[in-house]
Amino acid sequence: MLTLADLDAIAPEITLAVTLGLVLVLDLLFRPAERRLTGWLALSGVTLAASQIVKNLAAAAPLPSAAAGFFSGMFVADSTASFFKLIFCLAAAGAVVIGYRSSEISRARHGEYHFLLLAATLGMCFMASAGDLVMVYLAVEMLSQASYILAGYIRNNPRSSEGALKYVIYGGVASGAMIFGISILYGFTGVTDLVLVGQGLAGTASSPAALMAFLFMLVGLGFKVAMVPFHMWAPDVYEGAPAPVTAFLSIGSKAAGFAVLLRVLFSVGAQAAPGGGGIEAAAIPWREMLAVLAVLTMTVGNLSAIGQRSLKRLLAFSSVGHAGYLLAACTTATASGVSSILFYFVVYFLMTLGAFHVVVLVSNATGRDSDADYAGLGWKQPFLAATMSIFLVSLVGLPPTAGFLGKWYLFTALVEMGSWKFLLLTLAALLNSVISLYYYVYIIKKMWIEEPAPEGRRVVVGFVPGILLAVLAFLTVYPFGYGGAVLAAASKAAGDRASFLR
Amino acid sequence: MTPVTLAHYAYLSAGLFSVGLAGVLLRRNFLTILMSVELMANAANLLFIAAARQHGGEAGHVLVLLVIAVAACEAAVGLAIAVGLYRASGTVNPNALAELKG
Repeated sequence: MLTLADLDAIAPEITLAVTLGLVLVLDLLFRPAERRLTGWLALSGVTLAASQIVKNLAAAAPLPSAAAGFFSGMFVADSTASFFKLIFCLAAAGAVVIGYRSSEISRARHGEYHFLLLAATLGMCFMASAGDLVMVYLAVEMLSQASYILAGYIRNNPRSSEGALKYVIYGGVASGAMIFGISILYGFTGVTDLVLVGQGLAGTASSPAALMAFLFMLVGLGFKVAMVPFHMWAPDVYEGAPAPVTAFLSIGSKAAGFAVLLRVLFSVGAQAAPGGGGIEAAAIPWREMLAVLAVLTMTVGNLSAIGQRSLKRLLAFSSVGHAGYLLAACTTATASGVSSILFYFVVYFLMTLGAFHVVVLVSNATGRDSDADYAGLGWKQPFLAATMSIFLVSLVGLPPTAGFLGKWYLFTALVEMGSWKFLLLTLAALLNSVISLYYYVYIIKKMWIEEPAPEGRRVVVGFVPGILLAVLAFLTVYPFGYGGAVLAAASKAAGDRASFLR
Repeated sequence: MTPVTLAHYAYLSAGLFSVGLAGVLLRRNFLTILMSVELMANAANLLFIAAARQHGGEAGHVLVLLVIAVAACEAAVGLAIAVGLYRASGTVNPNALAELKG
């Protein structure tokens, strides 16, 4: 039965869907040169959706958790999902703003750009709220199809199309593996609701079929979060796509992947069902498997980032590294682990959007994407170089930046687990942060120590982008003003998931 | 004669899935790769239908229709990107594409 509560829970998604329809119609009504203006509509739609999400988050009575979702369990609107949706809305708004002046997106095609961004955001929101294997599959596909097109957005550029083609191939395989995993789970249990699947798995001690289903699902979701060995698409897609799209994918798509991964792990996985159940009972060593994959992901990501000449590619590998830290936190399966992941995504949004914004501005001026363009930037344009340095230092995780706080909470959640396995995992993450120092500082050194190239062109910053950069940099370098409040909100949101945990 | 059970369908669909995966990994033509991906999805479809017969209920049947619809979208997007790439670089053979090093 459809009730008003159902509609309340899904209000942000309805807003996004209506907005994307309007953007598509307006795009046809505007002249090509004016199509950029659809960005304002997209921005207000995302803002409205965000305000509805905040309303859901702030609601005094928590929405019924675990078994009772909306739309017969298809749609779960707990506060963890709402928190993730806020991050998606932030990422979409950021992509609209920094895409507004990007020279990589031609003027006549801005309407479609905003339409696709909104469609991808809608898919992400459904991913965070998926309470059923059917919803998981459809939401992941909704995001994927939109991102394929966004990745290939610079049509006349072979690199962009090539990245998109690789994305389609890798994505097709990953989604094929995921739907095969879902079909095994369905064949096994006869249900598709995540919690019921968890209960169904409870009776199947150490079954190879359950292990296979888990692995196939992990392939599909690992692809979304760019987990090694399913990360190969990331550098190519990130390099080929327009920089605003890259920022959007590396923040939003990754966060959405983690939202689904957490839900699948904890509702199918951990002790979701009364009396235990799920993959824990099916005797799958999911913690150990995930921990090994996390260490692999951070190490491969950080080592590959060394020596990259393209800034987009460097940031792509660094985002693979960050996925590794977040995966490590997933293994805790505690409320503090989930809240540290939520907090980290807020911080990650600030520093990644800032860094990509600088990349957009520099490549607007030079028409390419190479680290040579950053040589001597500090001498010519101290503001741009200073903000970029702040974002990079924060990506390393050095104090007093927001990145440090984010990592601090991630590692604290790991250490809290107490066992030597988790300490080892923390040590691996710390070592990786040291590796990442090398390639981030390499760019900072290039900006401040090297002489500027004589033919180098001046980067035009502009008023609005300048303000945005200044705000992002301030929030990154001085996280103490808002960090406590965000962390409190994150722990409250993760606490709502406590029924999924223990 | 032994009756055909869910396990038989599971083996058949695992076989189909492996053929599809092998096609993706070994073939070098984009269209063949796309077809192999479809085969992987259809392996899942077979298992859905068989399981739906076993368990009763309609979820499996509905899922198959959804998977087919999604596969059609994927083919449409994939082919559009392939056409764009062909216009930009004159080939859609993944081996010939060396602009980006994975």
